[in-house]
This record gives sequence, structure tokens and C-alpha cells, in this order.
Amino acid sequence: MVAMEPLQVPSQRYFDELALGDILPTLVIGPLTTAHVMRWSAAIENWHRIHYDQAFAIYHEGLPNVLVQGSWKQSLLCRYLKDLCLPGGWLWKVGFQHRAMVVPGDTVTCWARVTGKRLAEDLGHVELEVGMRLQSGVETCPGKATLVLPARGGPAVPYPFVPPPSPARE
Amino acid sequence: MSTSDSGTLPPELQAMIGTQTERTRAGVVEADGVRRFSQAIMDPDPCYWDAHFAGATRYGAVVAPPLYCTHFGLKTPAGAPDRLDAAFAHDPDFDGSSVAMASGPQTLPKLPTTLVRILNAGNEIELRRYPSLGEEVFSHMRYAEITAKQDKEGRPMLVVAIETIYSTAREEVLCIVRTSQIRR
Repeated sequence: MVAMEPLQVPSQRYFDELALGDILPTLVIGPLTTAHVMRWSAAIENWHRIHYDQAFAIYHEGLPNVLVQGSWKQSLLCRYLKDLCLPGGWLWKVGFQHRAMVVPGDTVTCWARVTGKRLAEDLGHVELEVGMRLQSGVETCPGKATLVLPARGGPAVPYPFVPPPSPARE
Repeated sequence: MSTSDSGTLPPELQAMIGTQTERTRAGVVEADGVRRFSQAIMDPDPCYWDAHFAGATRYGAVVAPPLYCTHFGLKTPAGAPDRLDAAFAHDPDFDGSSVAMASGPQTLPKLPTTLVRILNAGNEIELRRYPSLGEEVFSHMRYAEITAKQDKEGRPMLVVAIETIYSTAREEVLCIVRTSQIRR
């Protein structure tokens, strides 16, 4: 059974409220099962057998089990970062690498830490270090992201989002 | 991995920078596809299924999750040849890899290089807007950057950045996915 820890974001998170080093609320999902892995493969029509054919994964590919898809991890991370911005902010950029394998039985924790802040066109740009940790503490998906949040008393973040034409200021 | 710029990108590779595929229709945002996708990432956001709720948000309509449109390329359109069946007919031990099944106008021309081993060095995604239910999505790919480098043993390698741009019928950019490959 998947235990989800809902994000505590009942109201808008503002640029002014965040400080360098802040750890944002986490999203915990797991333990994952083969059914969750297969559900994602079916949803996106990814028929790579290492994600659902256990015998193939273990005996042909030499893997410890079927693998949770990298595409699932990145979509989950985007879902997490999107939620951090709701209702009026915007997940503008995210980049990550795929590191440790995730397999059925694992529980993952999406996390984010504030590493930079600046204003551009009176909108709050928040730089984050992000990732997805296994229950062992091993990082599986380290990366960086930029959220655009409203500043208190400032303009709304445009939707569709328009990238700032000028360099942001500290 | 420790690398350094070699600064000697051959002209035939330099000429590939900017090469892009034709912009083609990738797919259309469908309610059942969005349902399956959002359930698989365990996202209960009502903006993906509740028209009344979503209509009152800045989206103005039911939308797809952030990376939904980036997966259109894996889907086999109705009436198209069965790529999976064909792949197994050719190779009974086929691993089902989507990459191996990709073909058609969305495939960039091969790079003229003997460095053929490919490692994924990471992805960067820029988001502008989420496509709405019923909206058509188009895409094209391009070689955005190719850099010659050397590994710590002095062996040549390439860092290749491939951009896939997803856009609407009116060519409004929805998102840009930049994949970095290391070729050795």
C-alpha cells in the first residue's frame, strides 16, 4: 500500500517568506510495488521489459529487480515542485540526474532546499537544490530547480509563464 | 567525471549544431490519458479532472500534468503498424526499449562520429504552460549544442545537448526538454 504524506500547502507560499537554507515540506511515497511500476509503464506506453518482466530484469539484464522508471521519478519530482508553488506560483525550470536505482519495496522522499533568491520583474525567483531520497538515505535523483513565486504586494505570476527578459537582481 | 575542453570540434560536427527535425503533431490531450498519468504519479490535483474546479483557476480549464506531453512519442497511434509486435518478430529477445522503437520524423540524423557509446548526463526542463484537455501538441527536436571534451585519461568525448520543444498549434511553447548526452 502506498502511504502518501500530503503536502501542507493550504495557502500561497510567498517569496518573502523563504530564506536561504530553508528546507521545504517533503513528499513521501512508498513502499512502491511492482503494480505501481507497471501502472506507470502502461500510462506512458513504455514497454521496456526491465520495468515489468522480473525474470528478464534479473536473469537477462542482471538487475536486482524490475526498476522504477526514471521518467516516473522526474514526473513525480515535477508534481512535488508544482505543488510547492500552488496556487499562484510557477515551476519554471528543473534539472536532474538519475543516480541510484529505485526498486519495488522502496519508499522515496522528494525534498527541496532553498539555495538562492532574487527578484526579476518584481517576481520572486527561488533557486532550489532538489532530490529524491531512498529510505536508506541514498539520493536517487539530485538536481536543481527554479520556482517563481509572488512577492507580498507584488504582481501575480503570469500564466502562461513568460521568462524574464532581463537578468534577475539579488 | 573529470573533463576538459579540447576545443577541437570537427567541422562536420559543428555543422550539426542547430539541425532539427520537422515540427510534427505529437498528440492530443485526452481525459483518460491524463487520468492514467496523474494516477500513476499519485497526484490528486483536481485541475486534472474537475472542470468546475479547474475552470476557476488561472488555467481556466482542465489541464495535463507538467510532463504529460513529453510522453506522446512513446504512444502508437491508432491504425499505425504495431511496432512492438514487429520488434519481437525481428528479435524474440527484444528488450522492449522505447528508444529502440522510436522512428520517423522525430529522429535526429546520426552524428558523424565514431564516439557511439551514449550516457545520459541529465535532463533540464523549462515549463511555460500546461496543455489543456483537447489541445493538440506539436514537437520538434534539435541539436542545441555539441562540445568536444577529453576525459581525465585524455580520451576524446562529446557532450551533446538535444532539445525537444513542445508547442501548440499556434506555436506557443509549452515546454522545452534539454537532454545532455556524453558520447565516448
